[in-house]
Amino acid sequence: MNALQNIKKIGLTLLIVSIFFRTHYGYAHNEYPPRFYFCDLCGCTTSGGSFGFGDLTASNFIGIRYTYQKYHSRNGIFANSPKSIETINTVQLWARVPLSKKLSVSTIIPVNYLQRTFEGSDENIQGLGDINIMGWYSIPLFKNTVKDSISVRDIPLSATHTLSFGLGLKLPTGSFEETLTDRVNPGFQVGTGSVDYIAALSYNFGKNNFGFNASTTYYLKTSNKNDYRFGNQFSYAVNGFYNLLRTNTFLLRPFIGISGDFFDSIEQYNQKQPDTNGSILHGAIGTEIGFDKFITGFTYSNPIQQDLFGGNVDAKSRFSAYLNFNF
Amino acid sequence: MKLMKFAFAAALCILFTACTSDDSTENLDGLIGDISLKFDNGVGDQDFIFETTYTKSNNETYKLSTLKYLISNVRLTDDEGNIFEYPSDKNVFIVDEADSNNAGEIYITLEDVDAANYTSITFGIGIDQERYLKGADGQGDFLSIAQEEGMLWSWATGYRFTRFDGVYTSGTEIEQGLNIHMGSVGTSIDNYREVTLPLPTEARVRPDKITEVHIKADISKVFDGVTSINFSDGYSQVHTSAETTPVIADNMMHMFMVHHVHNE
Repeated sequence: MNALQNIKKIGLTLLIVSIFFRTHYGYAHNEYPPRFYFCDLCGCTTSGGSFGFGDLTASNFIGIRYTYQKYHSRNGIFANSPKSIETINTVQLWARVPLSKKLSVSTIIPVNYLQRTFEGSDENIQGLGDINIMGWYSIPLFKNTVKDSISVRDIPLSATHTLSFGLGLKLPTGSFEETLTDRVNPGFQVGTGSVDYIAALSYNFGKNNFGFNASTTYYLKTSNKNDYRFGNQFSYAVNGFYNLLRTNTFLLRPFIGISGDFFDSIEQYNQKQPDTNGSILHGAIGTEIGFDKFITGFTYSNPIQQDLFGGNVDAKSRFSAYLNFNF
Repeated sequence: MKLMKFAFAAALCILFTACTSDDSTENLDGLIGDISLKFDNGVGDQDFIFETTYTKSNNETYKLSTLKYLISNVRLTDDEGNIFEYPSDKNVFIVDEADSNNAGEIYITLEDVDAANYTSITFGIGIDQERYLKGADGQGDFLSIAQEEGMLWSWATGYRFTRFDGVYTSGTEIEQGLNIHMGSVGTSIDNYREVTLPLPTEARVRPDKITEVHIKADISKVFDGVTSINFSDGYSQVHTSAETTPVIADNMMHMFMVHHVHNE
């Protein structure tokens, strides 16, 4: 029953945190009233999905992650219509906390800073994004030979396989503004304004100094109060890593991987909006560096193939970095 | 452990039920709202820009300094087949590229439109005989507006439905005058045409909500439509000819499409 109490505590904390952010962040400090329409396919979905819910080895941790994304969006219906540049900076408090040997919960609490540059002028929105909470059930397929491995150094020597199932929610803690402008990139929002259901499946494999993880995530999205429903989303990520250097206090673990997303069409008033579905495939390269119980990670991703919003939105490279304390 | 799973499931259920949107049918009787028609002129997949050289099918090129046309008799058909017609005395407009905003869009806002979910829009290009036969006094303010905008020859000849002014270049001619001033000529030629465009998603007109219908107009279709015309072959000066004006009028029926609809 300890577990139940933990959940209660975490839930209560999140509620308090979200109320605080809603009151004190939001748009209060904005120079301009928020005029962002549609939604950003892209900006809203920084929590989880192809960005991942945790580090490479799915450790238990608490940490901070920073992500940077950039998009070019065509503003108009013609090939030579002018383009705007959207940059999305996100700072996230994220954690994965064990409840028992097989059960854990993870959360991502993002604060988003968005900037849009169009024809020489800048617009900014910022605020708490959409919090995501996941419950995980893990099945170690092979017995781990090193019991109670608690630090990043203790990678078991024999092969390990772990299969994890996750169920969770993305909460509408970020503001969604459905003001009518002609924005092509509807993802330019701090939140989607909707409760979304998340189902995830992830697999981790490790042998000697090699490791591999694969995850798939499905987002079932619901309509927000503006009768606006972002398209359901399927995300995947596959990474392979190698412990290049491993001592008692230091770890260097480069990795390479791919990740991607498929988006269904956005619906408003139950009608599919044209040119709002799409897909993107990223190639990623990065490394994790461990110091005792701290681990930092750096990832650089570049789109390999993309077709977003009928080709009207062009995703550029993205970058993420995190600093986690493992336990 | 069981209790925890149960709690988790219960939490999910509560969230699902709490967030179900209310889909009760709304009563729209007597409600009105505004709808904006946003005309966006282009040439093929390019946004139209004054004084830019565009190439036609037979390697003739053209560039325009004036681009205007008349729209009238706008009607909207809703999802139940009801037709809303904008009041006749206000239902005539000049779409002038020179009035466009930074993005090259020209707004025509219809006010006090019946609240409904509209699925198609119909409008006329030019002025129909019924409106013309109301006489000069029956035209209201629009007569003087059209006159100021250069969209009227004389009352006897009637309105110019289009004003595409610029220059063209062909194999033998360089930068010669191009003036496409198509219209009905009194009552002797009727070049008024109507088009009905389906809306890709419903335009939901509601009180205090903004609804926009983004109409893409492909100017290249005026010259390369159902009939491809040659400027050097009698089509550089189109005014009152019974031969050339109907060709332009018919071509213009295929230049419009609704690209998308915005609902607030």
